[in-house]
Amino acid sequence: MTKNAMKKMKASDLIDRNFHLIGVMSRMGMSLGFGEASVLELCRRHGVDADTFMLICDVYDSPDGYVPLKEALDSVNAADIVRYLRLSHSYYTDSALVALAAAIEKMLVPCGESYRKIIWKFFSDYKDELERHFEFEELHVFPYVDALLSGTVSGKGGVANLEEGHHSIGEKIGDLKNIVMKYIPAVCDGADVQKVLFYVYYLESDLAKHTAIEDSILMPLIDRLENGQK
Amino acid sequence: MARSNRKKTLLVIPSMIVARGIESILAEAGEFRVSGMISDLSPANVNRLKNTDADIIVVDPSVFDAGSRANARAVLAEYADVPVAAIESAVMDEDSLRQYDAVINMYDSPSAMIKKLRGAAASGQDESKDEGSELSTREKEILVGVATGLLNKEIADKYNISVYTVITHRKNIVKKTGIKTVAGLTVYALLNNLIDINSIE
Repeated sequence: MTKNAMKKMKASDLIDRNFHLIGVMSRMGMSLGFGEASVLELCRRHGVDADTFMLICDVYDSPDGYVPLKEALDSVNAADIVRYLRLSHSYYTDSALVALAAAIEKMLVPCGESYRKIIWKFFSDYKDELERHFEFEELHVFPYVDALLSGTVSGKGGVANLEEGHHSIGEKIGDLKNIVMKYIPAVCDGADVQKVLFYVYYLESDLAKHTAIEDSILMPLIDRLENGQK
Repeated sequence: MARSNRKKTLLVIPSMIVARGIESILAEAGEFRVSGMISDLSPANVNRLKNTDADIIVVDPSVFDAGSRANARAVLAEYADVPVAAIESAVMDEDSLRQYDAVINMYDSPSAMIKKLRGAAASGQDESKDEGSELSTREKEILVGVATGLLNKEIADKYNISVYTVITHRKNIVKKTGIKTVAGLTVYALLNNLIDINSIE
């Protein structure tokens, strides 16, 4: 479907095509109960740049290893992408990780002390690593983009490649998934384990999209800014 | 066929037109689905290759420079232990195409292409038939070494085997357990009572 046709689509149909976009929309402040509004109308209503929103939807619709067309990058600006990424970080820290932590804690109640400690430690180390990674981006990458946009810095080399960190984060959550799925002690309640697994799957797939946006949209936009293109 | 049952296919193809074309043919035909696309062999992409969970790789050999093209299959085998189908896109000699598990021609019909991919994917299954089985005793020993923080060299010395063998065992451990990080393998070893929590603290 072309970008323009998608903009004219009803927002409800957009979600029906790919329900993972519920999270994206809610992060951008587009709360549910939007009636028959089109995607474009909804973007306008919430002050969201429609081209940026469409590009993010495109990442969610594409297989891993997404590479946007050069032209698609022409119509978005780094400030909008950074704004989305910041909102996305708050969603992970304030909502997704909190819910996952609570679900894991509940799941581990019937386990013996040592199992509980082992699994909990793996999760909390992962959570720390993820939050440190977010913090690094919030403190170093995003302000650097702001500075490039406002012209207070120029030139090259301000940002190290983020992919390495993304790789390790992706592997750890994959491990958490396998540990819970395959090796969780049988004393745990099946419904509790299932709930944890759903949260982990959702977080894993959403983080993969989040990092794809950083690696294949934000990084090329930073390159462009460093080369003096707006 | 449910999406998740389809064989995961990693495309290593410089041309976006070709890559998207194959993606759409696979999407229509079922059986295979594109799980990733790589357009060049940058260090980041090589990293992606090394960690791919794909069942089959489809490569356009022109992604390799002329010098390394003759050994391309061996290079890919170092990165990922999966069957590889090549696309015959530019003029390539028959010898260099012979190294692949299948060769797809640009003018193949979709059904011919699927048939070739199916054949290539099946060739990989013979070698990995131990997948899903338990860890062997030696693998458990290696795992304990990894979980307690030993380096490959130290593990090799301890069991009097080569570092290369240690690496092969580690690859198989990852394949069997699905766990990739040292932290995750430590949890596995603890949960399966292979090590004691006090031995890592």
